[in-house]
Amino acid sequence: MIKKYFIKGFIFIIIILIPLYFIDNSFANLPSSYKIKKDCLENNNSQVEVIVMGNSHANNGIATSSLSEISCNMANSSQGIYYDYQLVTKYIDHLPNLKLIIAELSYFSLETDLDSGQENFRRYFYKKYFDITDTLNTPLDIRKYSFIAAYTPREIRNYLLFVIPAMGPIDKTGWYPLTKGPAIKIEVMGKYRAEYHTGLMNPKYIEKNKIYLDKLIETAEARNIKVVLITAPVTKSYWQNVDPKKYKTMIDIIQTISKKYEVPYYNYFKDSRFVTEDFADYSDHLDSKNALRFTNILQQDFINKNIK
Amino acid sequence: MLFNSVQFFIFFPIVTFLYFVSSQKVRTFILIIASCLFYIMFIPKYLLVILLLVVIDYWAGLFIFNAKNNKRKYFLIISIVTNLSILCFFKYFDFLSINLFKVTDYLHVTYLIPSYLRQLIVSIENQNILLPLGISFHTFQSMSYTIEVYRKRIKPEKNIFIYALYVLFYPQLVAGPIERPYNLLPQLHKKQTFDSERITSGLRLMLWGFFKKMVVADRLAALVNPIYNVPSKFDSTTLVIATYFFAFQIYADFSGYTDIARGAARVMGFKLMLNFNLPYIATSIKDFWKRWHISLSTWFRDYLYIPLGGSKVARWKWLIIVMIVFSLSGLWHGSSGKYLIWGAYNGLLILLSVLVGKFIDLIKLRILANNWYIKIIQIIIIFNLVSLGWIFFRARTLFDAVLIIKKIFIHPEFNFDRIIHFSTIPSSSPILNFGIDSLEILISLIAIIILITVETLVYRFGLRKMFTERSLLFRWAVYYAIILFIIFFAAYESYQFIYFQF
Repeated sequence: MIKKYFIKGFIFIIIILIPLYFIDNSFANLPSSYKIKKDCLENNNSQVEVIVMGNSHANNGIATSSLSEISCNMANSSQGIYYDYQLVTKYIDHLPNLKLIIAELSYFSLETDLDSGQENFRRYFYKKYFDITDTLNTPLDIRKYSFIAAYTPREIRNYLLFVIPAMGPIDKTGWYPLTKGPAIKIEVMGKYRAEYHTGLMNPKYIEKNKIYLDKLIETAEARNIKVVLITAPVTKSYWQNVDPKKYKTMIDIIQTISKKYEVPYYNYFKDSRFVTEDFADYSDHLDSKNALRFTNILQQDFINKNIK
Repeated sequence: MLFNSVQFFIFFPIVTFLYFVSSQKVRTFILIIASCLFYIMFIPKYLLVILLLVVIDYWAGLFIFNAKNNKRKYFLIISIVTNLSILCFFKYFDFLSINLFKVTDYLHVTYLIPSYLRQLIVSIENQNILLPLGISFHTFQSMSYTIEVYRKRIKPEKNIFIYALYVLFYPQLVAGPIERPYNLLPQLHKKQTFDSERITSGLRLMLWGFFKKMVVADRLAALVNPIYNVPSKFDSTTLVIATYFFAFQIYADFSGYTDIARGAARVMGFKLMLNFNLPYIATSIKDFWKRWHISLSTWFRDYLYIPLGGSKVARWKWLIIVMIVFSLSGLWHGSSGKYLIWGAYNGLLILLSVLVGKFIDLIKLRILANNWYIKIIQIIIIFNLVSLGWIFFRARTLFDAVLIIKKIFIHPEFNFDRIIHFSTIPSSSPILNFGIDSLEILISLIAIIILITVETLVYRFGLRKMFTERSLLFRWAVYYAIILFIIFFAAYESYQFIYFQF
């Protein structure tokens, strides 16, 4: 009886495991942002001159396809400095023509950590696409091995039912252009986002992030590759509602690092050339038109200087 | 080890397989080792605390049985004091010491605490001792053993390994049900056979538990947590919605855990007691407590309420007993004023329900009680009263709970437009800053409806029997549907079971 029961159980499991295995495999080919960015670097490795690191502010705000140099936008939503460093380390020796790394540091970058934050599901994608291990010791986490588990259930459903890719229309250089959302409560959108980001911040992450930022710069300098630190623009409503003490801490640290390594720092955080309507969410993500404008400013301010 | 973890999906089949292929003698050791492994995955060193309790209560049981006259009582007292001391040290030390300092400061009698004692208390506080997981569950289970031996309802267990397994048995070790010795101990002696129907039934119960935990509870947690973590930022409408969601979250979470525990035990042939019986269809508050966390409410009934006199005492004494029992049951959940208030609130509801019952008798309305529409009204009232109590239970602090109550009842700012457009307003709605959209909320609501419908059909209309009589193809199709539903609709951020903290 035991044997018969086990055979039945085995058949039961196999019937569900086989289709799940194929579904899981099909997710590996989903055009996710991680895959597109990886393809950009790996397919153009001999030509890439500029790479952009950072979180969504750079991911949406720096239109790498509009730069005159061959570039890849390797920034991604909630990407922390640890992952910036790991990506640079992984690829830097395979990019013989690389001249400039633009590292975007937002208000919250130094005081947040992807692995411990609300979007820590993203760490599985770094493992799957780039073989970058997170800083947590969780070898038995199923999301490291299964795409179905790693993707949020919402994305799986969208893909299975409507074949909607996991991310929006990212171009081949890794830039994720945003279109403007509906105009509701424009005046408080920045406030909400600033408070949300402040709520995520914790000073305990500063030391770790400083170490990885130092390492990133040292890795680049050792190969004569220039690094420029920038802070992307946000709306007035956003910058007026950040925690002034945290903001000052962030500026002090970046300026100290900038001096220590003699890397330039361009702070566009309160840049008056950008108004609330220039942002897709009326808070901290530039829309596509203004991302092009911002990229043009970067080109004039330092890219041309550093490349030529 | 969490039930909803990869570790458990490896652990459970291996332990079950080893259990069935081993002889009866070896089975006890397999389950003890498995239970220890299960526990040390949380905080290894605290296994020593349980083992200490096992040894003390095992010997206490034997001494109580062999002693004569008053000596029996002394041994029982030693056992109970030891259990409660360990529980109090880990669970209530900070709460008691902080309040002791506050009270003596307030009354200007700080000299009552000698400086060496004050230093000792502060140094213990500074150790930041973590609470051993499930300590409230296994201390209560241990105490029920020595009390039942004292009452001569059972004979003491002579085999220390069987007794150890009674306390350590992994399915119910960290969150119950709080078993009684006369139910579990005889089962641990009995040779369990391989019964395919029973095993399937156990696996089915586990599957349903996973659905409740991963699809209903964890989804709702993602909605409730951001709101209850900063209630000051949300309006009355959002707080009311979050409170109703929490009512279902805690039910799905705790009863889901119990289902997995009972299912895992059933697979191996053990029948653990029922812990929930459709609590949200209760038509009175007394009825609710007969259906909610049954193993704890009956523990308090058997070992505290009845020994204190139960309902056979003067009315004023009974009122005090009810308030004591419910306040203590509140404190059982944690060393915080909010749990005390939650317990006292439930005691007060019991007292009020008696008064209301007397009034109904007086105006001869009892006859209406059998009408279905009256029953529905009663269910709605009780659900709302219970949900009101959950505010104290879920709020991070008593201050937060008062704030939420004030926002809902004293300064209500209900924005019904917010309900209609609950999830369609882009991130101007604070809840959406956490990445929740209308589809996610809709799925959560559908999951709640599935939960209520299936459980009502199972408990009230014999769905289980109807289901097992259907063809294999049909049953497998249903199992696959539930598994796929869990895979595609679960919240993968695995939250710990709420009752692990108690």
